[in-house]
Amino acid sequence: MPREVVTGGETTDPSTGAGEPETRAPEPSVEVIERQTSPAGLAKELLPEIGILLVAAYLFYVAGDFDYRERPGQLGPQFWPRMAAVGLGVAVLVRIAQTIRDRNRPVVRVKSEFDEYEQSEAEVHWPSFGLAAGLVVGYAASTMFVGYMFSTVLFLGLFIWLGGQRRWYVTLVAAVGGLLFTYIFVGVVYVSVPTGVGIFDTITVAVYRLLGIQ
Amino acid sequence: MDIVVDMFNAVIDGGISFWILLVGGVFIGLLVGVLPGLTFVMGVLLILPFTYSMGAGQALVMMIAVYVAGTYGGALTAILLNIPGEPNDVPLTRDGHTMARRGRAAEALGWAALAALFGGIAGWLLLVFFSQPFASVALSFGSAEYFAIVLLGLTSVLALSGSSTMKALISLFAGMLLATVGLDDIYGAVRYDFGTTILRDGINYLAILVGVYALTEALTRFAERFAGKAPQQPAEIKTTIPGLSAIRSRLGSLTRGMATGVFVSAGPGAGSTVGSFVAYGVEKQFGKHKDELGKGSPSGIIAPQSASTASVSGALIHLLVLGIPGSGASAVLLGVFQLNNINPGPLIFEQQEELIATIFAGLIISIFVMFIMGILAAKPMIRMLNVPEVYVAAFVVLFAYVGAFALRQSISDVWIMTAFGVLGFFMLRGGYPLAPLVLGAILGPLAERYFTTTMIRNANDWTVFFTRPLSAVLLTITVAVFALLAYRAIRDSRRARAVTDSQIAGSRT
Amino acid sequence: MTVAVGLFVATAFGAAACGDTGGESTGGGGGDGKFNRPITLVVPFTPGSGSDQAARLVSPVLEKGLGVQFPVINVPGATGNTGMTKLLQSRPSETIASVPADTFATVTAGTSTFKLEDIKPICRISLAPSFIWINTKGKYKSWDDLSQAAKAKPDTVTVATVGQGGIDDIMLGALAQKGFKFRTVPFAENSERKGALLSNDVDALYEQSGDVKENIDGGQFIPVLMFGSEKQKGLKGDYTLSSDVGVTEVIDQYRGLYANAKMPDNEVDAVAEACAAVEDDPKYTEFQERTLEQEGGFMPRSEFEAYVEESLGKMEKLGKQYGVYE
Repeated sequence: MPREVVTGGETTDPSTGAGEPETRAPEPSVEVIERQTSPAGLAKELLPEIGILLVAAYLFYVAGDFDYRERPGQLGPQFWPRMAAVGLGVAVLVRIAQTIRDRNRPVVRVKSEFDEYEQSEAEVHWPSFGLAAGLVVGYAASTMFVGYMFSTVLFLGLFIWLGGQRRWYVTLVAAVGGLLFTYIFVGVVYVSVPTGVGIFDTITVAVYRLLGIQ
Repeated sequence: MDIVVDMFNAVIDGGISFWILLVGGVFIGLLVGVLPGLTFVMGVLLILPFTYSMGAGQALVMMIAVYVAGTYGGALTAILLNIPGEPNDVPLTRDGHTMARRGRAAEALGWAALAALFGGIAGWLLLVFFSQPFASVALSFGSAEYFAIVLLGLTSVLALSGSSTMKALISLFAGMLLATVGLDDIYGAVRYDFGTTILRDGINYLAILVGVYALTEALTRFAERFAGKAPQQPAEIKTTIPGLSAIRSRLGSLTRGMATGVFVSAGPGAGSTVGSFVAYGVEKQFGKHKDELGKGSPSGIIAPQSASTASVSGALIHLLVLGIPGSGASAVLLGVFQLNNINPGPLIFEQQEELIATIFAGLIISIFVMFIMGILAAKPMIRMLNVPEVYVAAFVVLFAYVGAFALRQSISDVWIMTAFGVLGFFMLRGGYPLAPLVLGAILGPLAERYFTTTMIRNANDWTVFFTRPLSAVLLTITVAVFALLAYRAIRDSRRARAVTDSQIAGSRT
Repeated sequence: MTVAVGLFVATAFGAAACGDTGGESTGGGGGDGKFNRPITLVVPFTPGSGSDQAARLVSPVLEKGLGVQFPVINVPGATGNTGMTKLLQSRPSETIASVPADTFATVTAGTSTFKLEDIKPICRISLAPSFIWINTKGKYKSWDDLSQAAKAKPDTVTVATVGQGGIDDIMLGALAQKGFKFRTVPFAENSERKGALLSNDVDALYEQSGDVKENIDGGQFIPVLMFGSEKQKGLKGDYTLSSDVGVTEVIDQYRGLYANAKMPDNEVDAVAEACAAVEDDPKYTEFQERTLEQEGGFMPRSEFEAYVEESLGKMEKLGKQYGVYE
């Protein structure tokens, strides 16, 4: 529902209401974006939804193959996933129908004083996203090889540096942070994080000893 | 009142160590609550080895302090960073963080602390004065009733819909489907593993939660090159504790939240999480400020938080009176009892007067200490937002990573978390809300388990859900709530269409 | 910058691809069976459970015997299989696991993630018989009541079990063949099973005495049938023995310590030797008394390997005999 906060009461076209007495509260200001969606554009917009529909159908089908010992009269492990798949399918179909119905409907957005802060479509810099994703994936992958301690220090350093902080104390924060958390998680809480292989393993364990972790 | 005298004596007898352990426990509970990926079960486990050398009373005081504080700590990260620290903070994240972004962070934190305080007190009163009746009611709950409660929790998806109900439902069912991956508990069938060991071990809801909230948040901020506007901070941070008149205006939300938390905890299981979601749904349904919900309303924080903290007592009643540990944390508490040769059960109030008094005293004091610490922590935490975002994001990833790993000491969960981090990013861009995904992943398996168990027990006679009186009542309430929420959603969207139609018409003339 | 990241990621993947980080023993145990790295004790169940408590009491005993720490970690899921996977994927010389018989039942049921050849039994630390319990405030008051109802109306009297074709199912299958046909209702968690009986959602419960101790002492549950031929010491009650109704071959619940098959024999022996101290450890003994476990639960490695094989053989045979397995 439109917020009660009113920031002026003007619509985009000032000619409305000219000469008419004010019989109700002024409307919040709105932004109307016209659009015309071509069939191709519509298809592109619906691509994720169609994908989900296909996945739901596929999962429904695969559920029939679950390997289990059947007990007479019982529903079996495929009942629930199938129900969920059906629910998913129905919801997606309705969504697709709604999108098609509204394909040429202008989008009306109520302006609020917080717009500046709430631009949900803040510009995403795709290379940066790729970088971030790569770092995170690399962090997980490298842990198995170099051990948690090294990969954490490496990750922190790279992430912070590539994220824009180009000062020397980045390395310091990374090293200290990495060591500190390794100590906490291994020594205090005992989460058995990997120690890596070969030389990394040896060094990591040596550092553990140094820090007093057994 | 005898019990108050007993409690007082217990505190005196506890000496200085009582206070040290209690405050320490609250601090640890807040800490694990705040850090995404770390749960308060881990906090309780963390101190377990230290408790071996303590007496039962001391150990329990400390653990209960961790437990209680853990239900509130997560609200801090939820509000300030848009990352729920615990599953029960998911409903309050949207309103909480929206308030923070609009410069009302201190107020939001204040409400969260207050709601936790009130919820905790309500739960405590239940524990001290109504344990036995509550326990008897709890005993009349069977798997059919549990199913009804969980279903009620699932209907709260409609309250979390944001702009598109269908997208919320899609998220919900997707969450439920994802949770079915892996080995099924009842039949031992492996579902949807596609031959891989990672999937065979199943997808844990915490890995999903940490992935779509913590990791997605970090990825998004990095992708925006940390240019997003940080929560606005007014020149001076106003006092955080809400004033009396504000409390009076939100009394309804507080009461509904406390009542829901207490009610839902009659069924063991995901007590604080289910309670929190249901409370949000109820608030959306009946609250005075229901239309503000989802847009930065304090009620959106108050209802879920008070429900979460209130449910702690329900879990404790299950543990003390029935000897049934409803949740992971209370299972560890039960271990402490057993280690010290104390048996929970209906006779415990007579047989262990001193211990019970200590527990009661510990609980209520923990609640107040938690409140005070929460309020004191508010300003420093808000100031922490001045730290360059990139550091926050980096450490968020760190905690997300460890949290995921610590679930089952396995790197697979880290991979799953990472995958959901990326998925969450795209979901948000596509306008698919995250909360229903998590809701489906948490409640879906519970619903399945209770449903299947009921059906097995009753030879597939589904009418049992309606022939059992309690279950029938609960299901009717659920259906009614769902129908009303659905009706409202449809009516609101019709109205919105009419309004926008006129706005469009207006802009065209 | 991007180059740096690219290198990082590439190295990581490359390393992960060619590094086998799980299999080798990298300096955990020395050639003489002495250890210099801590050994993780995997518990395939949630914290607070019986297996968990037992493991946490065994850990300090082993530590004293071998001079290295035995930190306990919980890896729950799939009736213990997730934990077994963890054992088999971790460094052989640095990991052992505390596993109950229920997990082995999944081997014979065909739903397990491991085979007997993948592990080496170290020692048995407990032995406990199983019972059928009823709620004192429930519909049935004794074994006679219960069994007559089961005979008269097959598949209507409900018993809470752990499910998945486990030991419970096999033993109840044995009863079914004698004419007592119960309907088994599976609950994955012990607390859920107890709760179900407490709220009279089911008519009876299949469980070891230690897991329902609180309810025995509180007068809520009483045993009506014990699977075995000798009454259990320390448990009061007027209960029937399964041997009296014709079921003489029973599968007991036992808990043991196990290592990865790739752990060198001398290391396994060293742990087994330290394990012997568990039998006399005062805290552990107290735990066993409290949980009403049978005396003589401890079994050394030399006998234990054979016992496990025999137990599995029995599970398989009886499973087929009673129609639980195809």
